[in-house]
Amino acid sequence: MKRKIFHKSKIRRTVPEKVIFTIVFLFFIFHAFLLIYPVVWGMLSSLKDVDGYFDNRFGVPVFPWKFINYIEAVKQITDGGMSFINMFWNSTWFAAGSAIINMEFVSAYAYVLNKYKFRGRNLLYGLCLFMMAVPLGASFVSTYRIYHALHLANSYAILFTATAVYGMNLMLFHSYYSNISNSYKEAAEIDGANFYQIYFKVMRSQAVPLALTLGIMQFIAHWNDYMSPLLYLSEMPTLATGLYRYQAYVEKTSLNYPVLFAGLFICLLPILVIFLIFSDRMMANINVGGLKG
Amino acid sequence: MEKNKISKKADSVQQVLSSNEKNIITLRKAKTKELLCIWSFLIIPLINLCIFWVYGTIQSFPIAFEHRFMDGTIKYDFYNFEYLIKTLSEPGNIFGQSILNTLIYWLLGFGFIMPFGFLMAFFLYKRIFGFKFFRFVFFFPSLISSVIIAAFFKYIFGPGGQMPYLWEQIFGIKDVMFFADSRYAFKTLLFYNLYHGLTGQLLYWLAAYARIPEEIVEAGKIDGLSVLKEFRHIAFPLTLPFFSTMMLLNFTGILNAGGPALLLTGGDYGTWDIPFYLYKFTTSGSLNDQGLAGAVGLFKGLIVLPFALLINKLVNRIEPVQY
Repeated sequence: MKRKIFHKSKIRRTVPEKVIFTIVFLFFIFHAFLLIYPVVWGMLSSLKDVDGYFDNRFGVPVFPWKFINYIEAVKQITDGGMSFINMFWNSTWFAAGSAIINMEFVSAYAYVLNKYKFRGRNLLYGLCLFMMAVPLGASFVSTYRIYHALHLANSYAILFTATAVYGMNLMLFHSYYSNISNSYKEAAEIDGANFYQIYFKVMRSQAVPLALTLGIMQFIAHWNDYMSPLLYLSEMPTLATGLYRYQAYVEKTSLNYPVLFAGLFICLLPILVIFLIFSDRMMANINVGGLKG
Repeated sequence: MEKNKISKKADSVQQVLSSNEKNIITLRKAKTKELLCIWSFLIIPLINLCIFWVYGTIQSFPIAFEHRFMDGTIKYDFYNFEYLIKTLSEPGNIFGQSILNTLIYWLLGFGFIMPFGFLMAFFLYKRIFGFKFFRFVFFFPSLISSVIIAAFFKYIFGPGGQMPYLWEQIFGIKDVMFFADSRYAFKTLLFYNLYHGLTGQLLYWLAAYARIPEEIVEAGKIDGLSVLKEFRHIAFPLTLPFFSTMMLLNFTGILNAGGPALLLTGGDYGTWDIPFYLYKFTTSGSLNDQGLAGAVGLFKGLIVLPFALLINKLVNRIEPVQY
């Protein structure tokens, strides 16, 4: 069932309301323009040649449009010896790996906290609340040193950090499992299913919609993240960090800006595709539990 | 005869007891097995917690007091803190600048972006004309990497870009350097935060409005409530617990607020902030600088901790609305 996001009553507005809505509408148009313009401008600029970019920075590119810039971006954009394809792969495993691992561990953790009684359960749940409310924790430097000391930096082992479960997602999963009846678990127990069969075949499958929504959001966040890869994956740059460093290089050498813009758009493409496919799910599932009030 | 009966009874009691014992043992085994299974789900996240949260937090203290000498020896003293306090009194020092800029970023977010975004979401919730399009476009900044947005922003505001041209047409000031002039640089980054962050929490606000029962809104309409009155008397009170919780939690991030200094100015022209300070000093390659970053991190934690505890108490006092 689709969740209600917008109030759907029949809209009949009075004159003062119409005035207010018109003013707000105009403001929305202005803000939307401000958000869209840079992206459209960047896309048009990616289709110019170098001279065309400097001679005609505000206008539409002259024909023929340089779609070849996109191929050039894949060929030319490199960072620390890593090709564009390598960086694309690094973005993919970092974003997808982190999202999948985190969802699996958060879901399993929330499930046992919610469905089983054992010594320390309340302590573990209380710790989750405490960590969310009180910003204690390792300092930036301390975390940086741990990553390097454990050789997590510049390695696939960095995905171990995705097993951190404390935070909003745990609360959402906990709330989700509390809405799933225990009778499913009990029925599976009567049928002779063991602990893992109950979780993987009965309970976890019911939490897939939530895991998918949160997982997609995590994927997007990790794909776009430039700070963590800059700190911990400097020798295995992702597209975001590679493009950031390539941008600095282009600025120093005043080289091919249209190719840089083409590279930025290739980086954006997977996210756009994912969002277009899953936008309704993402918009609808965000209000699954967890909101006070 | 009597003895036989007693011994038979004793035997049957013994049998019951031993079968009970067996049952208890089986039950215990099952419980232990279940407990092992439960902990198999918990153990890896707990190891992560121990390393990154427990050990990381403990480790933060000695780092903050680390004082390294040229010969490689380390002394633990208040050198880093004394140095930071000393530099605070120097004009144009980056630590003071970072604190001030961070507070301004936070104030902009807390005092304007949050409440204004909340109000904008209300009009989307009320299905303003084109709301589906606006919802998509307003969510856009959350989708795109800051590296991409900041890159486009940089070339539009940079030399030869559209904004310097517009500035010249409107104000008659030629060749304004938005990122390379201390009169403009920080203000430009503030504008970027406003532009990029205004609809950043849109989904949360929409989710909060979506929880308002339709019957209450319909009843208000029958009573002749206008949209503004609906916001004042229905939507705002019913979403207030969530809104105020978000506002209060925002306090805990008071010293984490920052702008895109790394992406746009590299900290030049008065644009340092606390997150940028921590990044720069942690990655400078000098262990002494890491000590300073550690001291700033600890200082930040100690300032925010009492705030957070107080706010936690306040949040717990907020009563959920009963519909």
